[in-house]
Amino acid sequence: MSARIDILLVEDEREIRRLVRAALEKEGMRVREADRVAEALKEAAATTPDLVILDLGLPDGDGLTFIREFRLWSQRPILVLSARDGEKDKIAALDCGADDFLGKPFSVGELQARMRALLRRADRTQAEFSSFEFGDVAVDLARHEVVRAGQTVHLTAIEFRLLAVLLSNAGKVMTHRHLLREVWGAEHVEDSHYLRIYVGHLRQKLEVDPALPVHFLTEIGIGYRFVI
Amino acid sequence: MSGMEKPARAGLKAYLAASGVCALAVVLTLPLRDVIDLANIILLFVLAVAAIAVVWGRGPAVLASFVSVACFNFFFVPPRFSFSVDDAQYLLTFGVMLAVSLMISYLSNAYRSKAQEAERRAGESALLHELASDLSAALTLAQIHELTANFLRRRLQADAALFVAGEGKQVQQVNADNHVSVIEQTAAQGVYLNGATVGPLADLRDDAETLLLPLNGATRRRGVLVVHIGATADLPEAGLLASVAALVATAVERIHYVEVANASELETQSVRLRNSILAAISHDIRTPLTVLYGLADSLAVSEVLPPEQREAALALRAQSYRLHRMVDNLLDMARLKSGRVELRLDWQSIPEIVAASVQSLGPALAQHRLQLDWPTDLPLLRLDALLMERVFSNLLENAAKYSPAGSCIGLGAESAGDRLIVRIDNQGPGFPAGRLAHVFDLFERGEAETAVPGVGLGLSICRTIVEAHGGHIEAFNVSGGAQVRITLPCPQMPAPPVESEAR
Repeated sequence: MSARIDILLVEDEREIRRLVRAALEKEGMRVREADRVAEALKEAAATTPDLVILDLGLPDGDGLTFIREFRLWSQRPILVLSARDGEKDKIAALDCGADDFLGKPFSVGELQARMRALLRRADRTQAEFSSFEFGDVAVDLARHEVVRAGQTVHLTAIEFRLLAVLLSNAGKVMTHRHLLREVWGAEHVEDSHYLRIYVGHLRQKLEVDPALPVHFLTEIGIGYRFVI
Repeated sequence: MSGMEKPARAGLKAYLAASGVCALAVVLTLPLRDVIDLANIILLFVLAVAAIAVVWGRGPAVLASFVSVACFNFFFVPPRFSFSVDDAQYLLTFGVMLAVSLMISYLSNAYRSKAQEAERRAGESALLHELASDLSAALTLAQIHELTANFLRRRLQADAALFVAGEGKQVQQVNADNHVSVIEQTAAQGVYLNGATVGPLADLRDDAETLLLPLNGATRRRGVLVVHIGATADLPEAGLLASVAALVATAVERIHYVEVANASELETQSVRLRNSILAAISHDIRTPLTVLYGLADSLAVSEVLPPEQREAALALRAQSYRLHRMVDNLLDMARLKSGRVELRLDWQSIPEIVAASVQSLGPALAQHRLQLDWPTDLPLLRLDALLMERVFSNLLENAAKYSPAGSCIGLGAESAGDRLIVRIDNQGPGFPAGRLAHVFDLFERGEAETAVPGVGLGLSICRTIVEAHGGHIEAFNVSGGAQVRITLPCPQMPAPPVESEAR
């Protein structure tokens, strides 16, 4: 985060805006605020932010409207702040193009970590997308190579495809349907037990403690998130 | 209604009158016996019999038939003033005369009773129509009873009591005011359960006969109508009372459905209200909590604070997080208790759900060691992952709360036939002896007053969720601590994806 990073913060609660702004400015980011969908869209068009933090329940409309409009012209990451309990709302936001969500209350450290992960992915160049390192694992997607602590790890074709999709979207929450469609095809979007089994395989092969994973994280009721 | 009985009752007079008419016929025709042909005199007697049949009915007419034949023989057929007959062909005349007279009396009688029956039915249906239109305006059970009782008093000089089935199979008297008789209640209960009309009984009331009629609605029996008919009044037709009972049953059933409709309207409104209140509370409480937690967290992680103030910031953060968990539990409980728990079942892995719970609890488990023993071949289960995550979060939080810092919290699972048993152990003092069966009750806590925070909602939520999944949850004290065991159904999983190893 060397260059000055522009953040657009869309949130109708003043106190929460103050809290987030303080945390981000401490990190050297520039924060612009909006408390309504209309204002947020105007602000986004004017300043082309590097990342948007968005509250879903805004007084003049649904946050989903903002996501759809914003996605028409920008691929920069959107992090949703959600006080809502409905997993449906979160899935809807992800389907519209949001990248990640953070439930309230959230710790400042967690917010910063999520933002870093999203910005890192957004800033990757095409060439960088093929090799990843996490824990004691190194993956080269172009050469189909997975090495753990110097030893080659054998993955099946499906395991590798799932790993590739998760790595390419590191930091982003991938819904069950999205992953199933990418890896198994559109006819298998309801077969979520495939995912449970194969994510389990990846954890067994690549996590230090498969029972308490730190890279292949579960978003209950929604999907999975890979964290480097 | 009692028209059929009249000829029999007015008997003696009618028979005398019939005899009188015959005598009159003799007196009137005797002077003319030389002027008029005997055949015409016969016709006059037949006319008299017909008239008697029309006026007094069959019995007197039959008597008149015989008397006429006798008089004709005695006064007109030669030799006169004697029952002997000169010409044997008069025997045929007597026979025909008697047969015609008898036929007339029978026919006229049949006509009479048909006419009376029709009149009676018309009267009855007018009565029932009157009752039906009265009942259609009734809005309460009390009104139904009043209208029915008034109707029966006015029309049949009878007294009526209405028993309607309430909750369970117990009938209760409507408008029970002055004479609530235990015997009557018991008898009505019997008829309600039995479904057959009982009565007339003479022993329920001193001065009346009692009939008990079941009120059969379209879908089920609604109650019992008890009718007391005074000793001086005539007993009505069984059919009439059955029709009255059918009308009352329809009215009671209508009131029942009106009540059901009102209740469901009320229910819909209160569900809507409750949901909007929950949503408002959820938003209004969480917003300040988010700010509180966030500010405490910012302070706690910043390095500028002296140690004791940093401690305070950490405590502030921990307490606001607890408050947040409590709000979550309260909202969960309100939702779970508000009616149907809608499960979104999917094939889920218990270890994965537990890992997510551990992740969401974060610092709350930092003081404990976790030991997770999952068998490698653990099957997937049909679960609502979000709800089961709440179960494990609550159980883990509880285990941490009630066991000393630094101790171990263990989780494991084993298959038992078509069930899977998941256990959560802690090394705390265990559940209070004697309360093991009740720790999952709402607002039950280990001790009435303890220093450990929580409102006892957590375990109750766990039970509600586990039972909604068709499983059960139990608490045990084992050596060295407490154990919670969750038993869940373990159905056959569909075929897992097949993949060749070649790549």
